[in-house]
Order: sequence, then structure tokens, then C-alpha cells
Amino acid sequence: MNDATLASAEAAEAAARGLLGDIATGNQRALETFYRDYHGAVYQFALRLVRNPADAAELVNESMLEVWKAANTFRGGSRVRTWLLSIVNHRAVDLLRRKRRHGGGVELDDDLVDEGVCPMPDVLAGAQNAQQVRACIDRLPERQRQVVHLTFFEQLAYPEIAQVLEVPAGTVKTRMMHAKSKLMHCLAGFFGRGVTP
Amino acid sequence: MSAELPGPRELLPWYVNGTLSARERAAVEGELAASGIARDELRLWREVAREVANEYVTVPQASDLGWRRLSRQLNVAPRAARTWRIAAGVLVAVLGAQTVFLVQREQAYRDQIHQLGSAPAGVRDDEWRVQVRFRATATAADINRVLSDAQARLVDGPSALGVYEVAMPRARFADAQSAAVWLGEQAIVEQSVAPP
Repeated sequence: MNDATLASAEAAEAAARGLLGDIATGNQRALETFYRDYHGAVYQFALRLVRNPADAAELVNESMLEVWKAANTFRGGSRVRTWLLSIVNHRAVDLLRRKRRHGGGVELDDDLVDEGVCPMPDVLAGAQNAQQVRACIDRLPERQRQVVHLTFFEQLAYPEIAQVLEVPAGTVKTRMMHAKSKLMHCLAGFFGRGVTP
Repeated sequence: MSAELPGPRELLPWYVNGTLSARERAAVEGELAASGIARDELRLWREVAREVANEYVTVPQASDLGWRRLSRQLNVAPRAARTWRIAAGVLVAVLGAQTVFLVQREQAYRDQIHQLGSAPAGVRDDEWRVQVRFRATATAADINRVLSDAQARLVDGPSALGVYEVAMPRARFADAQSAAVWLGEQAIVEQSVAPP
């Protein structure tokens, strides 16, 4: 991150903290600004967790309501964005649990993999096709897709992802390793000689 | 490998996104210099990163509708670390708000439709705008199935009263009214309206 980007990020963080401070005092105007600033990021993350627009929109609403209720519990131990995404994650887990309880058929995937090996040239050949890469990412189990999204879309460090997901940092890295294994096999499969996903 | 650092190859995704500490970055660069496998994996992660970063997802605008829905809930949402007296006050407010809500529900719904009618959001020129309220028993899967059947998409909502705005393809429906009628015929739809 260059100096200008860093300064911009620091200014954004300071502004977000200021907004949270105002929200904590009951300032609805501050919440409206916060909502408009972060609506897109919350929706993007929510959509990757629950995978349908209606539930994602509902999660945006629930998460912002939680911000309103809990702004005064933000202690500044993490970035505001990290804190916010952890709220979204909590809400999504609740939603997925409710759906499972009511037979909604939405399940959190486990991280178990047994993929063996696949030829790296095939993997890299498959990775040259953006559509194939996209398709393979979409096939990842939920928990692995979360980590990939938070790393490459939200640009979070792995300790921050651990905070968002409330898991040890080692678990974040393990999920990413499993994601890599699945991606490699999927991409090699697309290329035609690897294991078909 | 340092006992205090994870295997450098495990850190490649965060090397790519630029969030490693200087010490971790140095360890990864050492691994990259020594290992062809690490260099291949770096190429893989860069492709994945590019695709994820470029992924286009239609994000509904942070519309006035969404904010109105949220703001209506604020006055009945208890805040953390307040006293029981405030909580009791909020409870009274909730009961009062619910009473008012029930009395004014239908009028508010008509108002809602009017407000939506004056604020199109995210509907393209090749689509019709229809407002719809789904039955309480409709699941997200049901809604997705109906939308998929019509090649339609949600562009806004739900409002405080559960109103969604749906973009229906003009290629399939002659006008907004026929699109609304089609939606209204679906078992999970309670009411659909083609706004003026």
C-alpha cells in the first residue's frame, strides 16, 4: 500500500470511527451516513454468505440495526470495517441456522478435503480462463469462499479475517489451504486432464 | 522455517493482497526465491485475486427505501448498556408504535407504493418495474425460483411493509401490467402492482 492509499485509508477509518461515536450517542443522521457508506460492502459480503439477494438485503438491514444498537460497544480494537463484517457474519450464521432448522437446506460446508495431487501446468492453464476461475471459486464450500472473499475482495489481513469469523488465525490459513487444493483440482479438471470437480 | 512464523507458502494469499508484516513478507520472498512450487502457487493466487476483485455483483443502491425501513426500526431498537428504565420506555414505545402501525397499516402501504412510484431505482430501459409483496410463508428459494422463471431480478426492498421492487424483462412481458398480473398469479405472491 503506497503512502497516498495508506493516508486515504486512515482518513476513511477516522471518519468511520467518528460516525460510530456519533451513532453511539443516538445520532440517526450519522447512522444514515454510515448506512450509505457501507451498504455496498455489507451487501457484497452478505451475498457471498447466504447466496441470494433477498436474504442478503435482509442481512444488510439486520446488520445496520445491530450497528445502531451496539455502536457504543465498539472499543477500537479493530478497524470499523472488520467489526462491521463480523456483525454481518454473526447475522448470517444465525440466518443459516434458522434455515437449517426449518429444513431450508442451506448448510455450512465443512473443511474436509482429500484431494490428492494434480499437475500444476494444468492448474495454471485452467487459471488463464477467468470464467473457469470464477466457476471454481463458486464451487468452493461456504467457509472457504468466505476466506477467499475477505482476502481478495475486502483485502483483509488474515488476523482481521480471524476477527471477522471469530476463529483462530490458523483456521483461516487452513481454510485457505483447503480452498487452494480445491481450486487446483477444479482448474485442472477444467483443463481436461485433472480430477473432475 | 522460523518456529514463530507459519509456513511461508500458507501466507501467499496475503502476500498477494499486501497485508503481511515486513517479517512475513521477507519470509515469503525467501520461499519464492527458492521454490518453483511457491512461484507457481503465487501465479495461481494472482489469477484468483484478479477474478475476485473484478467480480461484478449487482448491488442494490443504498436507496431511500432501505434507509426508511431501517430508520423506522431505530426507535424501537434497544441500545446496548442502557438502563432498565430506558428499556421499559422502549417497550412502551414499541407497544405504541405497534398500535399505530396496525391502525395505519393499509394507509402506509398505499403511501409506500406511492413513494416507490416516485423513486425508480436500478430498473433498466429493457425492464418493467413491478412492486410485489410475498406471502409470509414464501422462502428465499421460492422467491428465487419465481424470479428465475420470469428472468426477473430484485432491485430493491424489502420495505418496512415487505414491499419488494422487481425488474421484469420487457422482452417477455408486453407491459408492466401484464408483468404484475403474471407475478400475482404465483402462489407465493400476496399482491403485485405495476406503479404508474
